[in-house]
Amino acid sequence: MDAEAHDFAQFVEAREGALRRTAWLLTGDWGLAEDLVQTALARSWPRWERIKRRDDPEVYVRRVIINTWTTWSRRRWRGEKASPAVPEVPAAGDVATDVAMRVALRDALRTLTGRQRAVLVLRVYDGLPEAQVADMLNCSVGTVKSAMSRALARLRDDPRLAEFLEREAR
Amino acid sequence: MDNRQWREFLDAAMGAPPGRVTVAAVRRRLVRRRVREAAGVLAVVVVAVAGVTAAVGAFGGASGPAARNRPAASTVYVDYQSPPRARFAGTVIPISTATNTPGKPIRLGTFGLMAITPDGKTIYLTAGDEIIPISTATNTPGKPILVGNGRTGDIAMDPNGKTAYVHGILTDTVIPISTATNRPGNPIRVGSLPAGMAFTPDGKTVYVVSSGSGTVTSISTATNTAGKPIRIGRNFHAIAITPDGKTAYVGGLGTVVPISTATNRPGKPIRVSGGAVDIAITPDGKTAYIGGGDTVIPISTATNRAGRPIRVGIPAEEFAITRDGATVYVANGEGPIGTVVPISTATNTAGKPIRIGVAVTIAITPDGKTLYAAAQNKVVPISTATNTPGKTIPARYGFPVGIVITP
Repeated sequence: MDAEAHDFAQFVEAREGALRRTAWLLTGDWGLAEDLVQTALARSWPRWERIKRRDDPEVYVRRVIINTWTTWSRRRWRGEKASPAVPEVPAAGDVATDVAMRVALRDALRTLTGRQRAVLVLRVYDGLPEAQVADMLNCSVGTVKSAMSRALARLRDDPRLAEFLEREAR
Repeated sequence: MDNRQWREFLDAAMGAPPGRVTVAAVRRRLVRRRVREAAGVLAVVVVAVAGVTAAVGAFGGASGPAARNRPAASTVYVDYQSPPRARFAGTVIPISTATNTPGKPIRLGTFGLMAITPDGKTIYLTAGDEIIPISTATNTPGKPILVGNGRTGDIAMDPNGKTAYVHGILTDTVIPISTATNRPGNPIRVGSLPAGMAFTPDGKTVYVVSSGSGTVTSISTATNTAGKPIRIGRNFHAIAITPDGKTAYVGGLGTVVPISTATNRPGKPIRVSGGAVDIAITPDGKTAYIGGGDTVIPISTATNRAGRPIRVGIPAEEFAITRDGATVYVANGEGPIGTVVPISTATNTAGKPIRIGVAVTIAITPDGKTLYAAAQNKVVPISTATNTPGKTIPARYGFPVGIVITP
């Protein structure tokens, strides 16, 4: 394998999991998350030589994820309603609670607007600074702030999440 | 709850990614798919650059065969990947320039880069380790040509239409395919990581840039043998040749190297700000436009000096140039908007950006009147006279991979 491909493979190895988790928060589905990450990586790879020099490569890939997801959701999943849970492969532990929590979170996330969800994921989950998120979403820092507070308020007030959030806050 | 607590909650709530299969198996599948997709997207830019070169070459002569007997309407072929999670992958959409309506989609089950013969009769499309010939008369795919060289990368058609050259991206070779027999010839060894390809206008030589080994290889199209590698340094990607065939400009990061095709010797490198990943040369051969950063840099081919950078506001990823050379179009497919910016070659100033859509890729009709910009799920015709977009042509097939237009 040549140096560039090796470099890219290393990045994928190291960050694929984290990127998929971000993608899950956006899509609420592991299959779609995988698809989204694959698409974003496939679209980043040809430019890898440039991306890795320009700035933090991961920020670029995340930007592609967000862009791709925005266009997907605009087209395919607008107005998608929460559906009965199809449990994915359960992890060890209290299976029922885990699945219930995931379904609750997925349903709660679906009540957010696309921008709110993107801001939440980028700001809270990926820990990116406000200015960078604003730049990524092509909006002002003020919009990021307001979308963020609305998103958190909505999750906080979501009855489906209440029980789980209480536990987290303790 | 502060951000950290929210983060922990989100982490806990989403749970572990599902693991029905072993991690190794998932990775293998992922990598395979990524390579397939990435190989498809890989050389769109390069093909476009090579396309510009070929176009410039074709338009350089006043009485080319195409100029004598051109049908009134052309057909635009756009190769699309597929929408996410679609049951099929890869569709080529023919669009008549007379009506701007899409014809019956050509479903291939795969997608790749395209090159078209100068007579417009056949499109060659790369697909994994095969090349699919598509007849433009019937819009049907022919028998796939197995190139037997691992994965294919870029493809370029020689201006005489006799041979298509295909990269083997894993084997550092270029495979010639005879368009008469649709048979592959012996692989020709080039440097590692083959990038751009460009033909001299007479079609006698094809230059192949190898970004990994930092070399440019000239291949005689008559004998399909490679000359001595020309060392220029690593990370060069794009190449374009002047219409008089005398100079090849090779673009890398912050540098453009002119190579004399008579001696195959590199000249003094020309420093350019930002990247130099795409190159377009005007039909009169006077100016080479270098793209890559947020500016496009004009280089006078007479002096090999860089002129004042032209601010286009988008990283240039692809060029298309009108037949009369009046306008160079710059496309940025990867940005959040997907924009095309016209540059007047008379004044070297950028016009108003035209918003198209995600993953935009562009080509200009042989009569030079219309620029076709393919983007996700649509194709937009743009009048090159007024730079105004016409009615959007729907093409709900996901991301475009490439675009070619029949003469």
